[in-house]
Amino acid sequence: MAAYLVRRLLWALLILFLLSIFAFVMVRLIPGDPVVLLLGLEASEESLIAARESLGLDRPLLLAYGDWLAAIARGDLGLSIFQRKAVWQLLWAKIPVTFTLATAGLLLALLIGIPAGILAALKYGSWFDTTVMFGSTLGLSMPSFWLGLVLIFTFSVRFRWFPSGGYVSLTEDFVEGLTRLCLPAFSIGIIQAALIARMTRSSMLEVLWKDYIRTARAKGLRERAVVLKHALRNALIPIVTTIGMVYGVLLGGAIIIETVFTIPGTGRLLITAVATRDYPIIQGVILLFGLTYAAINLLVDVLYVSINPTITYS
Amino acid sequence: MEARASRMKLVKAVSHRCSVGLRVLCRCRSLLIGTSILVVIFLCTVLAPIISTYDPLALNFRDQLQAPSVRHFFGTDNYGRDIFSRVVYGARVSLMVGATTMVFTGFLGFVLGSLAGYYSVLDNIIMRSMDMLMALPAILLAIAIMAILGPSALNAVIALSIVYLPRTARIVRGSTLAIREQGFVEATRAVGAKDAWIIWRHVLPNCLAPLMVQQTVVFAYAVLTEAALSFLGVGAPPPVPSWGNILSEARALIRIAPWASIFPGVAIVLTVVALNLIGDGLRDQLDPYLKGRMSSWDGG
Repeated sequence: MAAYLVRRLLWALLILFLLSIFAFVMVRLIPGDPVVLLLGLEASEESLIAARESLGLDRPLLLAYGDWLAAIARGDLGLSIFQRKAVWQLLWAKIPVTFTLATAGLLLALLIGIPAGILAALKYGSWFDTTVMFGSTLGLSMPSFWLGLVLIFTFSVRFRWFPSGGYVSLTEDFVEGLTRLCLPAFSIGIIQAALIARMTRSSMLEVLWKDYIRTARAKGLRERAVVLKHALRNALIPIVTTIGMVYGVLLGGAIIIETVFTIPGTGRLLITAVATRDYPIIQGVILLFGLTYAAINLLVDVLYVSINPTITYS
Repeated sequence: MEARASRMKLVKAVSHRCSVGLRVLCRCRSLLIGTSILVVIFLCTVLAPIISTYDPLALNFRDQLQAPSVRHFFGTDNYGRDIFSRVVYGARVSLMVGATTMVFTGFLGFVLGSLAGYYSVLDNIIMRSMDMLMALPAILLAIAIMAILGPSALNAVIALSIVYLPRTARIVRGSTLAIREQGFVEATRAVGAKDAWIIWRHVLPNCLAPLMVQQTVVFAYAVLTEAALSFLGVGAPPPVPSWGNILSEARALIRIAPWASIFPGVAIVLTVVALNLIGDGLRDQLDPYLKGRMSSWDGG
């Protein structure tokens, strides 16, 4: 297990290394002189030189990459061109917002998706099953930002149940924070609930006709125990993979939904950075998300073993 | 006489093919519904100049923010532009970007996937690069690429093709690995066939089924992601309408003119539902073992 983890860790590091090359080369790929594009035609010669220096554009490619990587290793992601603040400082302030949103979306997705999937599998072919399958096809086909707009119109403009946007930290004011989180979390969560419901259903269907389920029933176990202890536990492996994937997608979804609900998170930071061509911020966000993705994948692999001890990594 | 006979033969063969296709279509409900919806939407894009009731770009301040009516089926926006016409024309950008992305990723994914699967020397280089592209949420990678290339419909195609390429390449590689070891491929190699010939004649036909299913899914997600990019202001730029940028402009109007948001969104949902139904149907028809199961990728 330890050897496997070390190998997976090295693997993740390799991917992150490749990703860092991508993030670094990005600025060099901009057609024309990136610094003029960044600062505009009216920028003074000194500011152009300073920007070139800070981006490492005046140095040979490999040396500049080495410097950049060394700086990152020290936690220095560079300075934002427009906000004149350290990128890590900006990111650090926005990370909790995006992660709270994605986590709330995941919780909703699990709370809706797993029970719906289990019930649909148990009532295979019934109207409930058909409804879940139809609902999940619809959910998977829906852009989260559009759902967000529809929810704003329905629940904050018409019924006035929820505020239409903004963000309050849960630690600051839990109730207010939660109310503001509901609509955005639902917008991204319900779509992923569709995916989880489908995965849970098919995974349960595969397990439910197995011999050990018949045995469990035959020895007189209650249906509840058969479903939850015998079937679900074995069906969980593909579900866990899906959940790992879903969290990554939710982080991506949060980027878009933050714009709809004017939530000051990483996504909004990124979109503003793209509009102003603030490349150090874009690089920072790419590295941050890459790191998170790698961590999630690693976590999923570790979870496998705890769910099903028969899986051993060699 | 002979020419006529051969023509008859050809007509017979074609009509046989068509009837087989139709029979498959009718047997599979999701395929039938999906294809029907997509055909209608496709016809709308082709016939846009005929069925649209107004110029999608024409400003008409006398008709600002009109609710849906007989004159304006989907209402108007704050510039008095007819939303029905804009949605019909917007379909052109969305479908064009989606379909082109599907073709690009299909072609490149096949080339890279079959090379990686066939030549073990190339396997690591190609697949690790693909892993790198998959190490980010699709939307983030697309935004990053658009940040380099600048907003335009063509650049959206390039960005989406890069984003969705790894999934296709992976699937082709998997099929290639399995086919490479089969007896008939070895026999073909033994009689002196070149690698390119083997890939063309044996690998391609054998991975066509999973490739087709995957590419329908790519089409669906490309439509969704293009809409998201335009919505965020980094996709196809206004004034040319695309479903995403119509929604982006409608966002500010959600309190006073909800119709401006609802209809373009319904158009996106309908298109993607149709593509997902086709994907599900194809999967069921081409691979009965996978019947009813989800495709194994996130697509987000």
